[in-house]
Amino acid sequence: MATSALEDIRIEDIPVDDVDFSDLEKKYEVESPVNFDNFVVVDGAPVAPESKVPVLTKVLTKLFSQAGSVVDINLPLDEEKKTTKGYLFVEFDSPASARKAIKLLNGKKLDVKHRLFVNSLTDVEKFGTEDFDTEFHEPKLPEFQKTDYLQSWLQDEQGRDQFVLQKGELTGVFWNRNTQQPENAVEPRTNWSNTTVKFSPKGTYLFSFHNQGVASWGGRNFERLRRFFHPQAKALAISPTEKYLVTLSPEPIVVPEDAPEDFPFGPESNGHQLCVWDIATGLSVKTFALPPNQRLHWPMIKWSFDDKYCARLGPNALAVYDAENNFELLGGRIMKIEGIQDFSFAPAGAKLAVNRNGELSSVLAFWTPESNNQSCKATVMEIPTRRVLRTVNLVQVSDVTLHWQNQAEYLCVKVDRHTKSKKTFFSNLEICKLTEKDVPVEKVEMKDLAVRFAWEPKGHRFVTISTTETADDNPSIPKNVVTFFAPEQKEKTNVAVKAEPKKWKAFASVPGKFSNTISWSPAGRFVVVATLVTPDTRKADFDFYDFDFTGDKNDNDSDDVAANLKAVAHPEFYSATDMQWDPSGRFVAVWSSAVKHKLENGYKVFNVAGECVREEMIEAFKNFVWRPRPESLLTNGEKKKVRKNLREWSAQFEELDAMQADSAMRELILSRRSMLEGWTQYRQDRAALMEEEYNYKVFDQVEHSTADEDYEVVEEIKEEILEEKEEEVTSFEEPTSSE
Amino acid sequence: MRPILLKGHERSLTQVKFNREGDLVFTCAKDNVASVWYSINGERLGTFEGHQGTIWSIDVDQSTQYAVTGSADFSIKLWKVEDGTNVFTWKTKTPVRRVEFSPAGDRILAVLDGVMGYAGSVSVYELKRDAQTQEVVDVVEQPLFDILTREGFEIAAVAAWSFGGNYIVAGHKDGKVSKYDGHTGDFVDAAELHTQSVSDIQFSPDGTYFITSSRDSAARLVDMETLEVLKTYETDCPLNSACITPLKQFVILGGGQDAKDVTTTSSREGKFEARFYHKIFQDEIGRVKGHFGPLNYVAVSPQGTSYASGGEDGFVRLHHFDKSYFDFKYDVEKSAEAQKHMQELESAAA
Amino acid sequence: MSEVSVPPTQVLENPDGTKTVVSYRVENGKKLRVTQKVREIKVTEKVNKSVASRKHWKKFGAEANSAPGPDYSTTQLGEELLLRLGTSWKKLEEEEEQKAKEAKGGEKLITCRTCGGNHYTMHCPFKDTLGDASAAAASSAAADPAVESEAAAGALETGSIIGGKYVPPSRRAGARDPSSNNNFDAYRDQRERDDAKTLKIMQLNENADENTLRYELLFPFGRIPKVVVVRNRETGRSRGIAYVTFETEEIAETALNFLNGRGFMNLILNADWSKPKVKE
Repeated sequence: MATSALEDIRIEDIPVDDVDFSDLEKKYEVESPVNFDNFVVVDGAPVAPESKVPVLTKVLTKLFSQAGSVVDINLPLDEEKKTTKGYLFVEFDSPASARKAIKLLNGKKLDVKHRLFVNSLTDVEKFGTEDFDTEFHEPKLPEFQKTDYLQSWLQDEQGRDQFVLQKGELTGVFWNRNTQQPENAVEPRTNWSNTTVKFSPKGTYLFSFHNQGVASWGGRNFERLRRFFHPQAKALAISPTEKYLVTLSPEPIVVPEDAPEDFPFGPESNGHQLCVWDIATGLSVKTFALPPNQRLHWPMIKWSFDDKYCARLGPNALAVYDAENNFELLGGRIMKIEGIQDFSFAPAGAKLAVNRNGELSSVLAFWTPESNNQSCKATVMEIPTRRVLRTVNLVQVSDVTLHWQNQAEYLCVKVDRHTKSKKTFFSNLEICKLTEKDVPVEKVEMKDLAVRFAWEPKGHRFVTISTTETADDNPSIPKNVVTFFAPEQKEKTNVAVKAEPKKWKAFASVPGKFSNTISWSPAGRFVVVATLVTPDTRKADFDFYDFDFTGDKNDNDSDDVAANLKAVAHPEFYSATDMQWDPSGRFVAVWSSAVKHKLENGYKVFNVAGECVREEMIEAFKNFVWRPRPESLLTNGEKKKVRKNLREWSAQFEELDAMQADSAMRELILSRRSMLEGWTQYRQDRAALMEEEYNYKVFDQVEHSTADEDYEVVEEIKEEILEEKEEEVTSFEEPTSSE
Repeated sequence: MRPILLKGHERSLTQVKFNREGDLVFTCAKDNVASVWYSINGERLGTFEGHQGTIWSIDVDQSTQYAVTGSADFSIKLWKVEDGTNVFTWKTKTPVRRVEFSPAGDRILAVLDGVMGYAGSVSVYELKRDAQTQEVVDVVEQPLFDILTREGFEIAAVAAWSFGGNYIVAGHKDGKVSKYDGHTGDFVDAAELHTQSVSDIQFSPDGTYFITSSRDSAARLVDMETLEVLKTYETDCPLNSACITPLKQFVILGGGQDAKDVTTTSSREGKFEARFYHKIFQDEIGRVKGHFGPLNYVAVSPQGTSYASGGEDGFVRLHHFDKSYFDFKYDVEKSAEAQKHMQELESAAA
Repeated sequence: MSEVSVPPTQVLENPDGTKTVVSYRVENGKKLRVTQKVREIKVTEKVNKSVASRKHWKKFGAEANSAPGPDYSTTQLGEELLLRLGTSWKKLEEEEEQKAKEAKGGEKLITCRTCGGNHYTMHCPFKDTLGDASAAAASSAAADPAVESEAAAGALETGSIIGGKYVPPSRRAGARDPSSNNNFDAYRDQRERDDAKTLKIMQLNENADENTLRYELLFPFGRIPKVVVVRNRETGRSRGIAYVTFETEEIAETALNFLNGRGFMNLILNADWSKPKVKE
C-alpha cells in the first residue's frame, strides 16, 4: 500500500543541503530599496571643465565628509560643453548624515562666486513634481477663541478681593467678605491642580499643575484658557507683565520623529528642560537646556520690569536675551562675568537721574566674589546699554544678597562680612540710591549678621532680622533681633533741606525673638515680623508694627527719623506656616498648611491692627492664595483726592458692611434709605411747586450774610464753673459754708 | 453740654422764642412779665412790664425791633425791644392765647379765646412800617379781619403764619388743623390730625411745612400745601410743644403730665424731658432732662445751634449744642451725603 | 409752681475774684444744695453787626440798673448734661445709670469669678479650694470640707447670675458631679482620677514654658487638659519640672513610654507618674 510506503519515509532522511534554492531566491529577492533619504542634491557648485572633475570631486567629497561618510558623489557632465552642470548628487551612508549635511552646508560659500545649496533628494522630488502646488495659500489660522473678560473680578461693585483656598483635593476661589463667610467665586473643584495653584503677578491668570504640564485659567468662571504641554512640569514662573510663562520639568523634552502637528516643540528643543511660553497664545517661544552642574535657583529666568529682556545665570557668565527679538542674545553673545554668583533685575523701571522725560531704565545688579586679584564687587548695570551705573567694592565678604525696593528707587546690597579671623560675622548694608545723580551709595553698618531684610513697599524704610552670636547655643534661647530703619530727619518742620544726603538710622530694635519672616503690607506703613513654623522653629508668633502710629506714645528709641513706630498687636497662631498680605494691604492671611505639618491646620485673617477678623480651622488645609491686582489706574492726584474724601467713602463702606452683617439691619437700612430718598424727593417737589405757584424759594436754613463787613468782633462775659458739688441736706435752714 | 438756667420768672413759662439771629431769647410766663435774654451767656437784657395777667404768648419780628405779647388781661402789647417801651396796646374781647408776627412784620395774628359768649377767633391786626427803617409808623386798632371759629370746630388753641404770610394755620382744641388765606382770612382747608387739643404749631425755617404737637401724645410733621401728614412722632406723654431743628434733621418735642398729676412723682416718671426725634426716620434718638415740671414750650435758634425749653417749673433752660450733636448722623445719611459729595466732585471734574 | 419752700440763691464773693453760688432744689423728695464756684471770663466772638449793636443796648425793665454780665440771681449754669444721640440712647443711658448707681452705692463692681464675692478673683479666699475644675485638681487637699461645700454651693448659685448668661451647672466654675450627694466626695474622686492620668516630667529645658510643651512636645497626645510648669516663686524661672494631665489614663501611659528618655530641647527627659499609682 502506498500509505505504508509513505510511512517509511522519515523527514530526517530527506537531504536538504544540496537542494538548489537559487531560482527561488532570485524569484523572491527583495531589492534593497534605494534610500533616497541618503542623497542630497547640491546646487551652485562651480561649472568646471571635464578635466577638473577629479579635483572638484575630491574637494567636494572632503567637504561633504564633514557631515558623514560619503558613499558616492556624482557630478553630471554636459555632454556638449564637456563641463559639469553646476549641480551634483551626494550619497551618504545614512539619512542622519544627509540631514547633517543639509544643516551644515546649505548656503555654504565655496568661494566668492559660488554658494552651495544643499537639499535632500526627497525634498527635490516632493517639491519638484508637477503636482506640487506652488501657489501661496494663506496659512489657516486657528479660529479665534473668545475668552471671558479676564479682569472681570476687578469690576466687583464692592471692590472685594479674591483668594484661593486649598483643602485636601479641593481648590476653590472665594470673595473676601471681611468677617463673614467667604463667598464662592466659583464652585470648589476637586483636583484642579496636582499641587498648588499660582496667580500671575497682576492676577489675570491662575495656573495649575498637571502631569502633562501647566494650564491657565481665568475669567468670571475660571474657565481653562490654555494648556502648556510640558510633562511633569514642577515649577513655573510668570514674567512681570504676564506675557511669558516659564516652566521647568525634571524630564528633558523628547521630540518624537513623527511629532504631531500641534506638538509645541521643534526638534531643536530635544533634551531641554526649561520652556518659555507666550501666555496669551499658549505657544512655546523658547526652550533652554539646563546648564550642567549648577545649583538650581528658581526662578532660573529673570525678567526686566517691562518683559523686554530676560536673563539667565551661567557659569562665569550672564546670558541676557532680547525677548522682543525672538529671544536672541543681547548683542549676539553672552556676557562673560568671572565668578558671577547672583543677579537680579530691578522690579520696576528705574528713574535714573540722567533719564529725561520720565524715561524708565531696565537695570540689573549682580555680584562677584573675591578672587586672587579682585575684590568682591556688586555691579549695577543698565540694560540693554550694558552701561555700568555703579560698582561697589567690598572686602572680607562671605555672602552678598541683593534687595530691590519695589519702585527701584533703592538697591540694598546686603554684605555679610567676617573679621580677619573668620570667627565673627556681621552685615553691612550698602544702599545704592538709583534716582540720584551718579547713584551714590550709603553705607549702614550693623553689629550682627542680618539674616532677613525687607524694604517698605513704595517707601524708604526697612526692617532687618539679625542674629546675635552668643556662647550659649541652646536653640530654645531666642537670638534674633528685629531692627527698624528709617531715613534720618533732622528737623521735622524743615522739609526744605534737600541737599543733605539721605541717611538711614536704626531707630528701634526688638531683641530676643525667633522671628524669621518680615512681611510688609503692600501699601506700606504696616509690617508683620513673624516666626513661621519651619523645620527649625516649632512655634509661630506674630508682631504687628505700625510705622506711622498717630498716637502720642511710640516705641521709637530716637525721634529724629521719618517714622513713628508702634508695636500694635501680637496675635497668636502657634501652628502657622505661611502668611500673605492681601493686595490692598488691609488684611494679612496666615495659615497652617497640611503640606508642612499636620498640627492645627487652617487659616486666620488679621486686619492691620492685628485683630483676627476671620478664623477657620480646617483639616487637611493646604494653601491660601490672595489674587493679586494690577497697579491702580488712579493718578497720584486722584489718590490724593480719595484720601481727602476718605470720610465720605468710609461712610458708604460702613453702611455696606452693616447691611451685610445681618439681614434685619439690611432691611432697616433699606427702609431708612427709602425714607431719606422720599424726604429729599418731597423737598424737591415742594421747591418746584413753591417756585411755580408763589415764586418762592424754599430753604432749610436761615441765610445770613457772610460778608466780612457785616461782622464785628465783640467781647462777652461768660461764666465758667471751676468747682461744683451737690449734696443732700436735711433742711434748707442749715447754715451754709462759704466754700 | 452745660445748660444755662434762666430763673427770672416766678411762675410757669408759657412761651420761649429766639430772634432771627439767635442772639436773644424772649420768654413769657404766668407772672405777667416778659423777659429778653442774651442767649450766649443767659444775661437778662430786660423785662417788658405792663400786663395785668398771664402772658400766654410772645413773638419778635425779623429785624428784632419789636416784640409782641398776648395776655390773659384781654390785651396785645407791642414793645420796642431795644428799651422795653410799650409802643401800643390792643384791647381784645377775650384773653389772648397766641400772637405771632407775619414774616414781613406788617401783620400780627392773635388767637382769641372763646369765652364770655365769644366764639373765639384768629384775628389779624395790621401795622404800618416805614419801608426803610422798618419802624412802625402807624397801628390799626381794629383787626384787619377775624377768622371766627367755624361750625364743627372747637376753638383754636394755636395758630401760625406760613411762608410769606400767605396762609394762617390754626390748631384746634379738638385736634383739627385748619388753613386760611393769610390776606383775606378765607377758609382754605382743614384736616383732623389729632384726637386731642393741638398744643403747638411751629413752621419749618422756610415756612413750607410745620410740626404740630398735641395732648394726644403725638407730634406730626405736616405739609403746608396739602395738610398731608409727612411724619408722625409717637411719645408716651401729652405734648405741649414741638419744633423743627434747622441744620440737623431733627425735631424736639416737649411736654409732660399735667402739673397737678405729678407733684408726688419723680422727674423721670413725670417725663419732664425734651425728646429728640429724627425728623425723617421718626426714631427717638435722645432726651435732655433737667426740668422739674412739664415742658411748656421748646424753641430752637434759627441757626440750629441752641435750643431753649420753658418749663412749668418756672425755669428756662437754654442749651448750646456741643460737637457730638452736630456730628451725629445716621449711616444712611452719611453715605447719602458722601455719594452726593462724590457726584459733585465728579461733575466738577467733568 | 416756683418752689416756695426753696431758699433763694446765695452769692458769695471770694477774695480771688471768683464767686461761690449756693442754690437749692428739691428732687425726688430730697433736698439738695448745689455749690458752684464760678469765675467770670471774657471771650471774644465774631458776630453779625446787628447782633453786635444789640450788645450795646442798655438794660431795661427789671434789669435797668444791673451791672453788665449775667446776674446770678436770674442766670445760673446748670449741671453738665450728656446728650448722646443715637437710636440706642435708651440702652446706653440705662447702662450709665446702672454704673452710676454701682459707683455711688459701692455695690458690686468687682465680682470674684470663683465665689462671686466682692473681691478680685486672685484674692479669693476660696481660690485654692474652689478654683476651676482643673485648678482644684492641682491644689492640695488642705481645705476644710465644710467651707468647701458651702462655698461650692455659693458658686453654683452665683454662677448663674454673674455672667448674665445661663450656664448649665455642669459647666460652671467649681461644678461638681451632681449625682453625688456629698460635694467633698465628688471632689476627692476627681482628684484621684486626675492623678492617675498625670505625668511628672523632669529635666526639662528651663526655657520650655507651658505653650512650648503643648505645641512642641505634647501635640501628638490629643487634647491636653492641663500643663503646669513648676517655677521658682521669686524668679519665675522654671525648675525643669512639669505636671501634665492627659485625657485618659491610656494616653498618659503611651505618653510616659514615649517621653521618658526622649531628647527635648537638648535635654533628655525623665518622665514618671505624678505619684506612684495606688492599686486598690
